[in-house]
Amino acid sequence: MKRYFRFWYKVTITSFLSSLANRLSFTIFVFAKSLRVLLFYLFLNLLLGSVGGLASYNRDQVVFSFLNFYLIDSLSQLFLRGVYFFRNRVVEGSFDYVLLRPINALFSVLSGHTDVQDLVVTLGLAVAVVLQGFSLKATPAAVVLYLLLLINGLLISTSFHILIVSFILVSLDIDHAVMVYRDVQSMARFPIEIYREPLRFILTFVIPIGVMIFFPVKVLLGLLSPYLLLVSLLISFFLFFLSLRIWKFSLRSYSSASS
Amino acid sequence: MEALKRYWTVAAVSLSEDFTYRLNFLLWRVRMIMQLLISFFLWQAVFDSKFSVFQYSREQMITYVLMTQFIRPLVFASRAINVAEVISSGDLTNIILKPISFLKYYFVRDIENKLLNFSFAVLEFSLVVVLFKPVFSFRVSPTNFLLFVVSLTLSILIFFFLNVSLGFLAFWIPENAWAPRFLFFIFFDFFSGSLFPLDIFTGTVGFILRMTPFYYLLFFPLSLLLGRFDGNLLLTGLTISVVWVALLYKICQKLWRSGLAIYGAWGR
Repeated sequence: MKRYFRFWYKVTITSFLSSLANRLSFTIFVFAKSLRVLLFYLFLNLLLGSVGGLASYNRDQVVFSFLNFYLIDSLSQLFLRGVYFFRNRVVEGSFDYVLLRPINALFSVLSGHTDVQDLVVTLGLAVAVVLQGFSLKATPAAVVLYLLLLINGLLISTSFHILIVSFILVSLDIDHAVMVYRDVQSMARFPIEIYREPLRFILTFVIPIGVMIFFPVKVLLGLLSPYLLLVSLLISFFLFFLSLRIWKFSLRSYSSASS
Repeated sequence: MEALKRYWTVAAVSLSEDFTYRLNFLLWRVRMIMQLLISFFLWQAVFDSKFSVFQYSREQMITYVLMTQFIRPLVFASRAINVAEVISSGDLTNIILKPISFLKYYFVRDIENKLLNFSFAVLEFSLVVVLFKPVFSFRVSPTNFLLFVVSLTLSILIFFFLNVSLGFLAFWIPENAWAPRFLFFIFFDFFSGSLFPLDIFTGTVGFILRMTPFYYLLFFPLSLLLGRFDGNLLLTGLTISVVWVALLYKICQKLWRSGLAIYGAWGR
């Protein structure tokens, strides 16, 4: 465990130094990522100023849900950015070196590039979530459950990222698999109740982005039953173990032909 | 005639490249469907509690957002997105050695890609119409349609020159060219009108938006089609579009000439 933490720490420091070496690029990216959230936030405020709420949620709840979406998205990118570079590593053949290291290849792939740009954005979002969260007047128990489901959401996000790298190992034809996932995930930028059935059911339980992003919000608002809370934990564990099995299967089919 | 044949071959090769990575292309279209669904359901939910939002009725807004997604590939689908990569990697050398114009080469590839994406967008659009049965609000006259075609052509040119100019920045900042593009794409996303109609902004903000090229990418052509502009607004809008095309063409040419003068084919 200690070895893995040291590995992650060293890789993270290297990534940070590498990002900061290119200050112009770093500044533009941080500005652009912050601007994207800010513009969406302004749009949402403009919209909610006119309609008051969305799908039975009031203004404060919708804004919190929106900020929570970006927080989970940003946290995933911060810690799992290595996935975005994985296809190139397989194409170039440098993934073979990862396999030779005395460290778990999947851990190495997922955590191989901590993104300092996302760290700046994530910190800003975390502050915004806390500030907006005050307006919801949640109970301490709801806050604890929110944090639990936030971690649960990150586990689901990790599982999706594992599925993506597994998919890349099997087929190199797709150069934007992770972006497909990001687009599906962005469907939970607004309350999942805006979608009609059966799409809502699919987005909640089949591709569980609803569980990943919207259930933490629901539990904070006191709208999630204990039954669904349990189901969401079961879904994330099932998906995580399934993704690990698929990764192992994909790794067995990897031929290292590119190198 | 010889030149036409040459560019026809470029388009044919580009098309066969697209069909080589079929799964890649299909997943790209899946992404577009997601965006269409998000816009559609978001606005449906908005109108569940209101009859009119931003002076748009449900039918008008649904028509607007669905039509935006429908014409989006004609404006935004592009092959010129990899111009920066071609310059940074030194692959540009392969292109400039050929007896073709770089700008025309990429424009032809762009058109091929737009038409291919648009043909899929027609299918996707039909699918959404069949599945969700949205009620449209259409008042398209032949004049509006003609103005729409003119404005759409201008918007394709605006996007092309802007896109290529951003790619040309790689001559000077080969390792950083993606950053300004990323920033611009955020502007495209918000201020082209793909998420909401831009006339919800009035006063100074509305005026500033009307002066930017983003306004003329999706919102303006579509508003012409839907008959929301006439008289002075129409003429001013078309004039500003033409000015942007001319200005961006000049900028593009200037960047190309200056960039080529310092191009060292580092990556080769």
